[in-house]
Amino acid sequence: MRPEDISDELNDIDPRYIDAAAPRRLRRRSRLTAAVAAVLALAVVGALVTGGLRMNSFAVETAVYPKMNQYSSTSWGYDRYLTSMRERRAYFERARGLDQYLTAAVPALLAGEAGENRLCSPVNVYMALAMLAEITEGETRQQILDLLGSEDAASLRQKANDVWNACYTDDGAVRSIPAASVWLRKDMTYNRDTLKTLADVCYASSFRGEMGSESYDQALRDWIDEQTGGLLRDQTAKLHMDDTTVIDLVTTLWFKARWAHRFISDENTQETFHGAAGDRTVTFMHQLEENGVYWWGETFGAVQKGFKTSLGGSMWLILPDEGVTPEDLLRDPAALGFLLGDRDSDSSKSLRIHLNMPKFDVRSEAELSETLQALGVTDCFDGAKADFTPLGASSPVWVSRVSHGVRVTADEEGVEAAAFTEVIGTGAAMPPEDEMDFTLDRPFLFVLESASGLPLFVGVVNNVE
Amino acid sequence: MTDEDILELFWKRIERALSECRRKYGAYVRTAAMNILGSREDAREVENDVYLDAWNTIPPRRPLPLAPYLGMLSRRGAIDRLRADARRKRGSGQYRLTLDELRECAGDDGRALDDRLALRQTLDAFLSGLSERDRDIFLRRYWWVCPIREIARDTRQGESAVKTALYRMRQKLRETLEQEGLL
Repeated sequence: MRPEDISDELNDIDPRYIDAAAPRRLRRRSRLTAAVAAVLALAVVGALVTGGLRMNSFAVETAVYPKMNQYSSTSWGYDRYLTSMRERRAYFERARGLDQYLTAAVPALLAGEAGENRLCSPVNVYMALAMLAEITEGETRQQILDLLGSEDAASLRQKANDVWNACYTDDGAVRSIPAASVWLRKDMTYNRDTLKTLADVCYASSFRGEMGSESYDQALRDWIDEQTGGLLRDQTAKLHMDDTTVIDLVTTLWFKARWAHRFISDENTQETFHGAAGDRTVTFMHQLEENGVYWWGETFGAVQKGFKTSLGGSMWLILPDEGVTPEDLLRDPAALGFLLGDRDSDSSKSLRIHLNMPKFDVRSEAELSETLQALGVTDCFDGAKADFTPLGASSPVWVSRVSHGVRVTADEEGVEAAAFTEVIGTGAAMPPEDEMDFTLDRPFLFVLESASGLPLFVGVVNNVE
Repeated sequence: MTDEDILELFWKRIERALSECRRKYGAYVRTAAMNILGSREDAREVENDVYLDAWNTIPPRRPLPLAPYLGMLSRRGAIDRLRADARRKRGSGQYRLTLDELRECAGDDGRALDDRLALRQTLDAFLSGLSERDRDIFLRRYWWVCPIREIARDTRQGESAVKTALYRMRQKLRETLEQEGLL
């Protein structure tokens, strides 16, 4: 035994004893703190995002992101930050109601070869489709509205703006930046009002240049790298717009946050991850979550690990039961509902959780044209049917490509993702009395959820390198 | 605002719960962290994390009274931070002193204890068997990490009397741990 063991266990003694033994000086301090809290002042720190010189030479419209109060550990700064977050709560409420879209899209976006790692950002694809709806009309637009569950273009416009703002955080502690862009041909004319609407509603930047040129390709790569902190650089290196491309839509989402409680690297061990492609020895991080909450369903268990700021969102880790695959969970309506935020607190329990989690760096690249067509969005890909009237192009237009690159890394300090995350635990049975191990040593899922409860990133981790 | 009112805000997912917690229990939470970390700035950060932990665990929890629950989260967060920063040699000397004192009754074979549940039950029994006065002294020192001088002042006795009482309780705890087969 170590003295730390006694110190640790004292933490959970009868609460009445703790209160009774509190130092006398506490009562005086409470009054002082209240007095300080009464003289708070408000201030705003700006976070303007601008493009680089190379991108600016192609820019038609550049999105300007909202200003946000910065997270602070000082009392007055923290209260100011909370005030700012309360103001944003209106977006959180209005951004709800994406269930129909999420339920249809997430399994489709995560479909692929069995045993592969697969990642997606449902929110980011939603924004891309909202943008597409803005530049289309007729049946082409209606197909998109149907998938996104919006009655008309105006309501979708409002919802997209609410979703963007509900997901956007750049407060100095958590960075969650959705971004979108439209890449246009230099030799075509477009309706500038439509592009302006895209910038206002979806915060989409638009660019115009010579399709097929290396400089235009490089501008595209630079834009993505800038929006994602370079996390997707390996993936963007291959991007190319050929000279037949009429319009290219690109969406990204960059998320970076520190765990509220970091893992300690000295406690890392080398353990076996029983991946879909075979066993592999990888680095596992360990942490005792004294106040963990374990959630369970028929065929899975889950735990939630929070990020640094009080409203910074969290990562859900979802572990299928033995013999159940992540793919099985995606086909199970109840498990999928849990993944997307429909959780019943009756199936949760507070207990001490020994979280054993592999460090991971997973990525995926997807071309979503076929996926979107399978979801009913077909006309925009068909040159004979596509109706891009609002774009005002001088010749027929159709979508040639929808790129979606995602990468998520998790280590001792936190998570960085250019797409999404989540986690889950064990099975149908009730959990143990007071304490349990939650070991992600076989394929699992994760959801990286915004403070508003939207799934920013969802992933299936079948293998860890 | 009562604890019940604050809990209701948590359950309704209204962020005002956080500022109400800070207003009512900020000093309580900071003191638990400050005594361990010895840094006001670090204690502030732990305090903010405490409200996050509370936000993430209520619901499903409904801890009443709220203060010791928040204090427990704060103490846990401070110890975690201290361990993470161990290489930077940060933290208050008081916490290290309390560990040195507890080493008398825990021994120190360098190995983490496997049966933590048994240890907690033993500690519960040990504490409930102490007089109220002794229990307050023990917890002021080893839970709240208060300096001996402050404990002496709060309990209106000399520092040597406090040290003697703590020594006696550590011996008793060691005997209890041995009887339970934990040493």
